[in-house]
Amino acid sequence: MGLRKETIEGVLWSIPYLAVFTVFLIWPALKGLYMSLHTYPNKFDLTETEWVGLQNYVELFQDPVFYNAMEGTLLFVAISVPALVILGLIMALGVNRDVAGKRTLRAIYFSPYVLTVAVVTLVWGQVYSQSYGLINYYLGFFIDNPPGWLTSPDLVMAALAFMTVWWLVGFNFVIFLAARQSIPERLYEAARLDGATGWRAFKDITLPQMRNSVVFVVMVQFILQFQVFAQPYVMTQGGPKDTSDTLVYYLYRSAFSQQQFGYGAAMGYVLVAILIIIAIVNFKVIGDSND
Amino acid sequence: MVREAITSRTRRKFIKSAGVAGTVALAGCAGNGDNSGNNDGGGGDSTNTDGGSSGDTRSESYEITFWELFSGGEGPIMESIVNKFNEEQPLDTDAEVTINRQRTPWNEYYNKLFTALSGGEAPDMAIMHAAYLRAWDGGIDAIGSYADTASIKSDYTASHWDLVTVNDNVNALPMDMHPIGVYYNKDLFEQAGLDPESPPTNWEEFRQAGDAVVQNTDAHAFTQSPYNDGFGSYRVWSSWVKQQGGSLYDEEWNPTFDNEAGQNVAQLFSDMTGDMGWSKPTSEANWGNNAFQNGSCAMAMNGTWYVAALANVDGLNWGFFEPTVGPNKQQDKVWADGHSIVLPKKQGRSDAKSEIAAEVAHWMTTQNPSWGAEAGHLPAANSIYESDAFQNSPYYDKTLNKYVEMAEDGDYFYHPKVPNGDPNAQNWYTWLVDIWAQNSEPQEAIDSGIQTVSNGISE
Repeated sequence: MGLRKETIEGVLWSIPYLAVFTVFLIWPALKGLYMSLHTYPNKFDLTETEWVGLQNYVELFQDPVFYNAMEGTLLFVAISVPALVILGLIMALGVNRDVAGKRTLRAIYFSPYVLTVAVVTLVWGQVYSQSYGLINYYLGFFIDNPPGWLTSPDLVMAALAFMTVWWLVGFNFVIFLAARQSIPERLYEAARLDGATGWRAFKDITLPQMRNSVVFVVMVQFILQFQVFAQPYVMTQGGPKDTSDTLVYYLYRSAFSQQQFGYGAAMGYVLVAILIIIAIVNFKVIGDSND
Repeated sequence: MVREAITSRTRRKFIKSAGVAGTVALAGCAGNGDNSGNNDGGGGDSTNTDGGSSGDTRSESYEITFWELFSGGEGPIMESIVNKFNEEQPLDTDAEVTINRQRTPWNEYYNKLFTALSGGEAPDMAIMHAAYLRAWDGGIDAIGSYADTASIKSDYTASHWDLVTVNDNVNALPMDMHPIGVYYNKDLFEQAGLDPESPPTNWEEFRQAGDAVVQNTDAHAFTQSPYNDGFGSYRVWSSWVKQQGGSLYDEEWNPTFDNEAGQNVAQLFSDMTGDMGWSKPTSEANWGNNAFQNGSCAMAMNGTWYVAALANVDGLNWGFFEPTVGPNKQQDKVWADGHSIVLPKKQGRSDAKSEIAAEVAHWMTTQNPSWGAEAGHLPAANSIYESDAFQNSPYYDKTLNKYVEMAEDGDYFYHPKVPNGDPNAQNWYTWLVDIWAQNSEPQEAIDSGIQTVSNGISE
């Protein structure tokens, strides 16, 4: 009977969370699924719905704008996620050493993370400006026509990704630093006695010991960066030549500018499916051998 | 519906004149119309926001929620108009009517208004660009249902009335019209050896002026839009296409701008930042605005509202000329749109409150010369054109008289009132920015523009 009491207590303690979870996550998710299978013939009255089955999904996979947005998103993820992970790791291992001013460095590394995306995009919009931006001001001393960072189709995604790495890397840095500091020093002492230092110690001790954190950070960054929205929305509106369009920005335009709620919801579900696949692959590739 | 409006008002007046304490509840019914569900009976509740009875000296009170999108120089003027209304209580009614104004930035405004509307939480009254009046037809209550449009029609100029009329229905009351023109820097004109008091009047003179600026000064000659937002480019591009006799849409609202005129003007945009060297090939959003305001660009094309921005720039010696200077011109045609006031559909809003909102909209659009005189727009009301406040506006001789002249000459064509989609969506026109920035060949860009706009309308 004790177990029974424990069970009841456990359920009772879970209820507040489950209630919030249901109202704000499960219910909207189900509602989203419902929307993705319908269209709204009268956009001013969303109580009128029309069942269309998988038509929104079929249209989506025939839509060139969707593929373009997908391409943009993948490019952004391909640049930003490795940089966020590797740079965060290097920074964490760097200030884990006994370097002068490491506390100050830690504060500096983390500080951009506390800014909101609105502030970050406003500040970097100025920094990147082609004619009066900070970067081109200094580049102007060396070259005649510095490029437009947000106005060149070849550079824009890299510029958005660079800014995002500057903004978010502090979070990974903190996670990695905590993970590194939890590795017992005796492992390194033993390795030193066996003659293993430097790269060998990093490969055989540091990385395996930090695997959980690495899996966590890679996963979180994939999920976050796949949903990139505010950077193109505020800074480039998907341009130039639609090269900085992304999935969530297109989803937003479909649902809220074109009032195609079913189509937007379908896109949301495709995004979820992609993220689930990425999560599974992530676990298989870097997380599975963890015992 | 007009008769109903009058009947309802007469009924309220009768009840009040009877002065019987026991009729307070009846007045509540009259004021609240079909919205009794939201009224808790009224007695003594002077803050009732939906037209219930207050039992006070004023027997009814209405709070009209009003959404608008004005920023920059226009924002404070709209705020002062609303304040004036709330203080003066100018309507011919004993009810206390107040406006509760909420401003949302223009780039978020319509999405937010749409969401509020479809969620049943629309404001009682809202500003809407005339270009939306067809696509939003299903989301607004035609103003003619609550105002006697036949009798107030004569209060407005014919062109403004035409602006808010869709399929012979008057969907809104017109507030203003805001066409475009060319703003130019007189000092740079002088440096370039041009007469700053004789700005260009045709393509040959415009071309010579631009070339002279490029040859004789360090400045750029022209920016097609201060903001490079695509939509700004479209205003200029479409004006010059129409001046060449080109069409933009056919009768079924298929985009037709892949015609000779459309191609010519697209090529001209490309040449301006290419061979002609008139401007920097950039898609940078504020490049043109910064360049014009800091005196390094001689000419910028923009709307009536630009006066409010330029008024804050010290030392900028600017003038204005009509934008009917496109190449191969066959007719004078200039892009225009306008702000109007609509009553968004809202379940549960009483007829009485809608009538009051329509009266407020009429007052705002006909009794406030400051909207034209200070914000630089072409006001909708006939009476304002003749008012001293408008004629003595600091902008009258600079811009307003030329805008009036173009209106009198019938030069304006309206931003397309498409049946669906968002005619002001930035992504409809980014192809023009890509031409300007030399990212796309003109024909490639036109093809992409046709595709985007067709998709936008068909969705």
